[in-house]
Amino acid sequence: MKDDERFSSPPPDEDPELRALLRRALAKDEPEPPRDFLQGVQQRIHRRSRGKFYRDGWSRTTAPASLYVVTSLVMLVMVFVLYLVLTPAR
Amino acid sequence: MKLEDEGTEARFIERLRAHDERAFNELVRMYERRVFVLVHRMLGRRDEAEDLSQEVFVQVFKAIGQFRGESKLSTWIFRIAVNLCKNRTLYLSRRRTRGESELESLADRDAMDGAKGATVAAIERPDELVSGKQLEAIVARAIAAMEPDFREVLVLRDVEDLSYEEIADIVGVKEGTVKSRIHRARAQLKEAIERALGERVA
Repeated sequence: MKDDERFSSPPPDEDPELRALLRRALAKDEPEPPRDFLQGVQQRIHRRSRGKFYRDGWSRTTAPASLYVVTSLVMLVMVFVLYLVLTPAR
Repeated sequence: MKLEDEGTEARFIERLRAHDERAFNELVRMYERRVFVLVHRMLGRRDEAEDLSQEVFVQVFKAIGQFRGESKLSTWIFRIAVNLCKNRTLYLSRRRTRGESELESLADRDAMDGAKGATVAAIERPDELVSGKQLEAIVARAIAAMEPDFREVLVLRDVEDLSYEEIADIVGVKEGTVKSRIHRARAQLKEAIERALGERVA
């Protein structure tokens, strides 16, 4: 009997105990991906695309959008402070 | 980021198709754990899993233009992962590099001396007879020793909790075949547990 015919309509028994055991066995010591996982992927893509993708350091990292905003604000504050310092007093 | 509705997913996929690096970073962050764990379960070796799961995302990046949206993005990514796992398994078996896997090393060979007279059929709760950890080690070894076709469907169904339809889509066979393989994989698993418990009796 072919595989497809054998279970064409009724699903196989789920056997919850076996499933639970299986889950426990595989969930135990479940490995975490390495911390530099994304960096590794980016480096591979950079290499394989001969530098076309992920060519700069910024895009290779996972900097959140807030980092750009904060950097911009800090720069504005610095410019303003420099303006105050360098402008001769009247 | 969660792809909760179709519109969000469609926009996200468009960014991926345009090879938007930030969108791709988000994709890797979203799926790295699931893909890594799946690949690790399929291959049973951490070093191979690290290498192959990164390769999955490289292939996703390369092939995203071919994604037609006929299946879920996750299903498509899993399909790539499973196919790469199959190829790697074949490659490794050809190279005869069957070193001791991490799954196998989980087994504590001296741990089950108390399991005399035990079979899965004979006892309702084998985990009461041997410690849970030891039984789980037996199961892990049995899965590692299983044929890849059976192991993949068992992991996708019983651990990843995917539907038969999704598994059929990922593996590239009919639903009936998936059900049959799962049934046979579970039977193999039971047999392997009984055999392992039986060996302790002798």
